[in-house]
Amino acid sequence: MKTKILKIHKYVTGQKQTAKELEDVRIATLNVLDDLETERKRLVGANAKEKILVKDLEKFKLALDNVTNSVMITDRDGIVLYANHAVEQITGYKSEDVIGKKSGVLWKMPMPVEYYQTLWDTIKNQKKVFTGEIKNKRKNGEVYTAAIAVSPILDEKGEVEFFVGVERDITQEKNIEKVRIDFLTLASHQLRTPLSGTKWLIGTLKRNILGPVTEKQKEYLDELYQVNERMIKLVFEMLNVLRLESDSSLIKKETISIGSLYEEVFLMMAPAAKAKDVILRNGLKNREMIIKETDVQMLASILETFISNAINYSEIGQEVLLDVKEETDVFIFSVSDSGIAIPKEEQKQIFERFYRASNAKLFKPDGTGLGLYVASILAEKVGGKISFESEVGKGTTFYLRIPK
Amino acid sequence: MNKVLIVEDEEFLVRALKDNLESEGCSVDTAANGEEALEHIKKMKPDMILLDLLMPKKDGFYVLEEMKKNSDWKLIPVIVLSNMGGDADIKRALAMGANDYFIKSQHPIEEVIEKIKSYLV
Repeated sequence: MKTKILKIHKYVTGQKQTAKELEDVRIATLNVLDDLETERKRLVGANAKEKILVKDLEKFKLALDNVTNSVMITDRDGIVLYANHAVEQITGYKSEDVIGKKSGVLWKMPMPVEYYQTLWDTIKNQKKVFTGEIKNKRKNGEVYTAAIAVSPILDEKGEVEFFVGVERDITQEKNIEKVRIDFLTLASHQLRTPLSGTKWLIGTLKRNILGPVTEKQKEYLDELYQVNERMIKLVFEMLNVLRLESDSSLIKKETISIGSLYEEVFLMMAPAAKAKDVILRNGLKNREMIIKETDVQMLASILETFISNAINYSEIGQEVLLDVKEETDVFIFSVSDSGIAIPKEEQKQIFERFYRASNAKLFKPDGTGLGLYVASILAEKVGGKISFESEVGKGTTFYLRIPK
Repeated sequence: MNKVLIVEDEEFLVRALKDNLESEGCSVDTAANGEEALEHIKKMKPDMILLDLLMPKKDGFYVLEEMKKNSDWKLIPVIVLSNMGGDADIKRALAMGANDYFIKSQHPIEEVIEKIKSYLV
């Protein structure tokens, strides 16, 4: 028991606590409560040991009082029975202000009604642990954001006896996240402006409206234009990576038919295929299979990366085929080409940031090495998996598996 | 002769747009911020406006808002040329009356010029 309390102490005194730690504290707290109950039962009737029990209980209370996450115990109707010191530190309410009151009323409930309905349904009816993010109001009216975990404690009959809630103030983390996003938005604007200047100035020179340009000068202008285009792409993709790596990008939950998804991607990529004289074949017109609760934009972006790579690393006249297979739990999208393929010894590195296979660098010098890296982050976000088969001399097939 | 007003605070972008438009036979006037833009609109009554969004003093959104209030001005076509590429910015500008939105670094100058010409026919 002592070690468990020490464990709680250890977990909660650190400043940088993760959600995982929060969960650990919650479990440790529950364990302590469990152990207390066992202790109590064991000691019923054992008067001689009563003093030790009281002493032990005091120790537990002291430990719980001083945990840096707020810990509250309420009865089955939400009336507060216990609140530790952190409740006062976070909310500004002293424990005597809180005990005997209904917890939701104290924090003014700034969340939508549905949030509280789900919370109560989870802990009271389903008798499960509720975890989530919540906005509450401090005593001074200030709104703060917290990560919370509320567990129902059941009696022998399986009825709710009381609830334990653990809460961690994450307002500061949220603010840092916002600053990061604002910075990215500004940086992306500031980097694009000079690049678009170069693009338009060279473009104007190439149009001959300022006087004739010699053949040799035109070659230089074309080269300059391409270098600048590469820079624009790199800036765009790097900022995209930074945005995706921070967890803030919201994942949408939409429904789309695979047919229309492929159609959209096909239309998007058709000009690139035409420019390169590569034949793009859509192997699944009018298929009605439906993907539910997915981020269509992210999904399309992954497939576009596959197709764009397939086009870029194919020879003139070769084919790129889009297809899909349905299995019990997954859809498997595939994009196949007969292009230059990925050398076996380099296949493990292909998803690394900025990595480009040696033959790809020779075949197309201006890639950024970020396409597949971004695709792999996106796949993770939509709960999918990317894999591939590739053999020099035969070509490459990339697969995206999406759970149904 | 078609009159085009370029509202842009970056000199090099003004220059590229101006040279191209003049070669197409347009008369071009320029403003470096939202406040200047409104003065020019009042004076020259342009046939179309190319509008940057992020500018010192008053920004492009302010110009769109002011144009909407004036029954003469709200009919002038506006193409937003901005490097702000967020969905929210694009939606907001279009909702405020912009006819088109180009992210500058994504479009070659000839494409932008073609679009402008399509509004001037």
